[in-house]
Formats: sequence, C-alpha cells, structure tokens
Amino acid sequence: MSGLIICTKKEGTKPYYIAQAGVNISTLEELCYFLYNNIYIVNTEIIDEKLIEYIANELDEKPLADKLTELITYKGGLGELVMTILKYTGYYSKSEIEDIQKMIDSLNTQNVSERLKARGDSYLANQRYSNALENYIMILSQKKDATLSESFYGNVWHNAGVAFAKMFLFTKAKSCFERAYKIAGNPESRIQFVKAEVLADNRNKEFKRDDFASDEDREMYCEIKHDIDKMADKAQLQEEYSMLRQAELMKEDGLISEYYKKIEDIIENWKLDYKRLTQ
Amino acid sequence: METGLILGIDLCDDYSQICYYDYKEKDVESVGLSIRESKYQIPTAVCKQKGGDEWYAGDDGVKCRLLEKGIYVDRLLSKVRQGAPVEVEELTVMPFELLTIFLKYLVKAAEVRCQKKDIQKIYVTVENFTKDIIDTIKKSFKELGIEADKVKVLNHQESYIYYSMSQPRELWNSDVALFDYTEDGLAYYRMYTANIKKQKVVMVEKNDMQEQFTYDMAEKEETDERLLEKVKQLFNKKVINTVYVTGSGFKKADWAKQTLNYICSKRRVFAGQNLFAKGACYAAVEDINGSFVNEYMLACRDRITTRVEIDASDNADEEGRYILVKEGCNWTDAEVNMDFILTDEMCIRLYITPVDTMISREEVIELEGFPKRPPKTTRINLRIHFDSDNKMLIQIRDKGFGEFFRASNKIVSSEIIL
Repeated sequence: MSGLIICTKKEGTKPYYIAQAGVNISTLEELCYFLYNNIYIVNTEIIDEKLIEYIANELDEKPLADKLTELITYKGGLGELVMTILKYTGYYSKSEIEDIQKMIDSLNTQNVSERLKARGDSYLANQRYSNALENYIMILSQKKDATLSESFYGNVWHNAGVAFAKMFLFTKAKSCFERAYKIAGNPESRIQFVKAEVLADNRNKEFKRDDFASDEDREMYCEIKHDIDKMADKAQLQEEYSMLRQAELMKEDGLISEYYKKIEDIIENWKLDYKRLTQ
Repeated sequence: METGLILGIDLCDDYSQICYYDYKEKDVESVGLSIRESKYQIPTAVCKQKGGDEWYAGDDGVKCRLLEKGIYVDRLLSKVRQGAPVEVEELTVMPFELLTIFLKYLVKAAEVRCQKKDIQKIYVTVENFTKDIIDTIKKSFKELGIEADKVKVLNHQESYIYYSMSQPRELWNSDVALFDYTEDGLAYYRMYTANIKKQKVVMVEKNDMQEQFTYDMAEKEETDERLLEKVKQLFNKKVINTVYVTGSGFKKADWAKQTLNYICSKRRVFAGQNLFAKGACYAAVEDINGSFVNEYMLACRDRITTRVEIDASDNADEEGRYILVKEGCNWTDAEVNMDFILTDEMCIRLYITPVDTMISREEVIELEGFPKRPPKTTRINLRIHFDSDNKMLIQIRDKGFGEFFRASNKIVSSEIIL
C-alpha cells in the first residue's frame, strides 16, 4: 500500500498498561502492533476483561469489545482473540494477517522448549532482557529434549549471553558464549565471547602470547579490542554524551537550576531504560 | 419539528439589518426596529450615557445623542477593522466591546420579536471580511454566550447567492443581476450557473463601478443617462431575467427612471434593502436543511474552487483518494486536523484539482528531519488551514507511535497556492 492509513479510531486520554510486557498503549493501532510483534509472549492474561473494558470505554470501540467478550464467553482461543482485534482495526493488510495466522498455527505445533525460546527471542528483540533470560533459563534448567538439536541449545546459550551483555553483565555473558561455542561451535559465539572478555574489565589488561590458544585467537582479540577502543573514542559523538556535556556547560554558565533539571531528566531516562531492560 | 432561532445579520458600517426564520411561514422575515421610514435599517452605532454606565445602540443610541445625553460612536465596522482602542468619555474601549453591545441589541430585538431565546444559528454577512473580522465577530458573540460553532460570517456575494437561490427556480434559471448602490458607490453583480465537467457551479462576477458612480451622483438626472448606457453594456449578450436593486442610492428610485424602465423590460425586478440580511439567514437555513447546496458548488469570492486530496484509506488493504478540502467551501471553514499513519514513504502527497480544469497536480511535502522508523510506526498530525481563498497553509507533526517509537514532535510546514 502506497498511501497513508487514516486514523479513524479514537486515541485514549489515558494509556493502558500491559503489565506482562511493561508497555503502555493508547490506540488500537498500537495494540495491534504490540500483538503482531510479540505474538510469542501474548497470552489470554493479556487479552482479559480489563483490556476489553479499556477498548470499550476509553477507545470507544464497543462493537469490538462485545465481540471479544463473546469469544471469551464461548471459550474462544487466543488465536481467535488476536485475529479479531487485527481484522477489526484495518492496520495490517490481509497478507500480513495471514502471516501472523501461520505463526499462531505454528506455535500450536511447537514443543514447550521451542515456544519458550520463541518467547525469549521476542523479549530479546524488544529489549526486555530480564524476561528473555527467564525463558532461556527455564529451557536450560529442564531435562534436555532429545528431539531438539545441539544447535538449538547452542543458540539458547548464545542468546542468554546477548541478554547478559546488554545488561552490562559481561562476565556472565562471557560464560554463556563459551558454553554456546562448546555446544554448537558457532564462530559468532566465539567472537562474542572475546568481546565480552574485553569488556569485562579487561580493556587495559596486558595479555601475553601464552594467554591465547592460537595465533588466530590472539589476532581476533587484538582486532576486537581495537574496534572497541575506536568505539570508545567515538563515544563523545553520541547523543547521551552530548546531553551530559550540555549539563556540564549549564553548570559552567551558572545556570544551576537548569543544570539540576537536566541531570534529573537524564537520570530519570536511565532509570526508565534500566527498569525496562531488567523488568 | 420547530427548533431554535435562526438569524441573519447584514453588518455594514452605516446601517445594519437583522432577519429571522419564521417556522410557520417557512420563510425569512426582517426585524423592524427603527421608527423611521426604513424601519429595518438600524444605525450601526452605540452611545454611552454621559456620566453613567448605560449604553444604547441603534436608534436608541441616535435618540440619546440627539438629546445630548450621550457620547455617540458610529461606524463600528471600520473601528473593528482598524483595531485601535476608542476613547469614550474617560473610558478606553476596544472595538470588539462596542460591537458586542451593538450585536447584543440586535439579538435581543430578535428574541423579543420571535418570543424565543434559544439561538440555533447566527449568520453575519459583511461586504468583505478578513480573518480578524471573523474572529472579532465570533468573540463578540462568545461574550453574549453564543458559541462559535453557531456563528458564521459570509461576504455579500455569498449572501446574494443564497438569497437568489432560495427564490423560486424560475427566478434564477438564467442569469441574475444585482445593483447595490451604497455610500461607497455602485457595484454590479451577475450570478450565473454553469456545468463544469458534470459539476453544477454557481458563480458571481462583480463589476466595481464605485468610481464611475459615486454615492453623491445618485439622484442626479445625468447619472441616469450614464447608468443606462453602462447597464446596456453589461446586459449585452447576456440572458438576464431577474434583477435586484438595493442600497440607499436607490432609495428614491425616481431619479433612475430610464435605467429602471430598461431593466424592467421583459425582466422581473425587485427592489429592497434587506437582500443581504435575508441572504445570510437563508444561508443558515440551507446549512441546516440543504436543499440546493448539495447540488451546486459555490464559486464566488472567498470560496475555494479547488479540491485537495490525499492517497489514504482507513484500511491497509485499500487504496483510495481521500478528500481533505472539498471545492465550494468557504476558506474560513476549510480546516483539517487529522492523524495518519505513514506506510512506506517519508513524504506527503497532495493532489490539487481546480474545478474548472479538473486537471490534478501533485504537491509533495518531504518530511525532513522526521526520524526513520519501520513502516506503519509513525503517526503524524496533519493540519491545514487557509489564509485566503487560494493560499493553503500546512503543518505536519511527528507523533511517534506510542511508547514503541517516541514522538520527536518535529514539525514540517508548507504553503501552497491553489
């Protein structure tokens, strides 16, 4: 579609908080976007009476609310609830809705570990690292499923490593990448292992030749360390750095109340980000 | 199913008039307030009691002045246009306050006449308006507890159209002429309808003869001869079956015998002073009941004669053109305030189609500085309003997409001449 989508649906004056995902929505379009992009974590606890009440009263979409209520009354499945919302809004095209229908159908055929990984990966993609780890840990703490490949478990360890790394827990990330490489032999896991090692307070550590298993490893390490050092040098160009610098300039110019306000805003944003990452 | 008061006011600098819709007669009637011969014409003036707080308006104001009991302020419309405060005794008063007093007087008179207080619509006609005039009039009515959505301002050309087309069809099947002789001079209007690419259009052509025929030339014999020659030119090769004659210049019409004899030959001629006020009231009735306005597009001064569209649909599967601004509407009413979701492109495409050619042109507004996001995750607010009947002002604001993609609130503005 080349044109625009007209927003005919009402925007809620108050947002609706989806606790399981830690996100607020204020329009039907946002709800559709959330459902479509988080299908692996959506469950019937999300599409509940409270959400239906919000749809009816805040968004003024009583016909949709009535349909959903009817589906729940007659024990309609999660897939039916999701499809009803998506089709009603018109935000997604027929072909996009068909795709999500296939995803919902495949969910029903997957085993527990596969579904947990899909959920974890969905959380990871949405920067919900704590939630992602919960799912990965559940998989890894269960008895190994013989129907699943080594590559599957390697990927679970690898993604757990990514989640830890994004939370700045580089030592734990390092362990996960190491396990992932040992199980599945994925070269990417090896690279991430080295990166995590460098970032785990080892940036200034002097390594001897014997510290490395091979010359190849040493070369990889040097290259990665060089890249990380370059990125560190460019940190001053980042938006966050410039905000800190602005605050500093305010202080130098004697704009004390503006300085404190700026610092407050920066810290508040960090807190919100961290809460979201670790929720 | 009778309902509230529907009023039309012709607001002029010298005299104003007020009409109301009579539900029983199903027609518009004038409110006569003056004790003078021209009882429908109310001096556009107010008068403050000397040494007191009382204000009088219209003929009451004139009486107060004649008795030397008050400070008289007339030509209120000019004062509103100038915008400067007015000194009245020891008070400094803004023009809109004086206008409010005057309009209150008119509205009260109508309420008493009709034995009703509930105002449904008030349409005010002035010869020419600006955005400031409209805002001031609406502000005055708001002071009187009448909300802006009940008030509309039209120009004289629009009122003329509404008046003409509210008469029996045989009176406007052919061209309709109007001679308006005011203290500003003589103006001639010709109303005619046309079919343009299957759209019925009603147009007004104005011939400004204010310099050739000034007000002080009225009632002179030689003026009649010159006017007759002019009218013959104007009517040449035109099929005009109905003529309206209005304005104080024609009050004593016996000076224009030759001209009127010529005009009256094989034509229906109507003389009166309340055409514009009645036209304003007819416009209000038409907006409620909509008999001819749905069939005809108005293309006179202050009307937009171009359609503005956008490629948009309320469904991701459908493609279509959505009309943002419909041709024929008054530019002061043509406001758009809508949200859209961008799909693939980081720009807005508008399609401008003048009603006379029906040839569309595309205007592209690039959304410079808007954050790049995945498709369908940018909600924009599109606001359009007009500065005149051919100058469109556009503002597009980034609203992000909830918590998923934060709004940058970046705004892109553009101006398009239709």
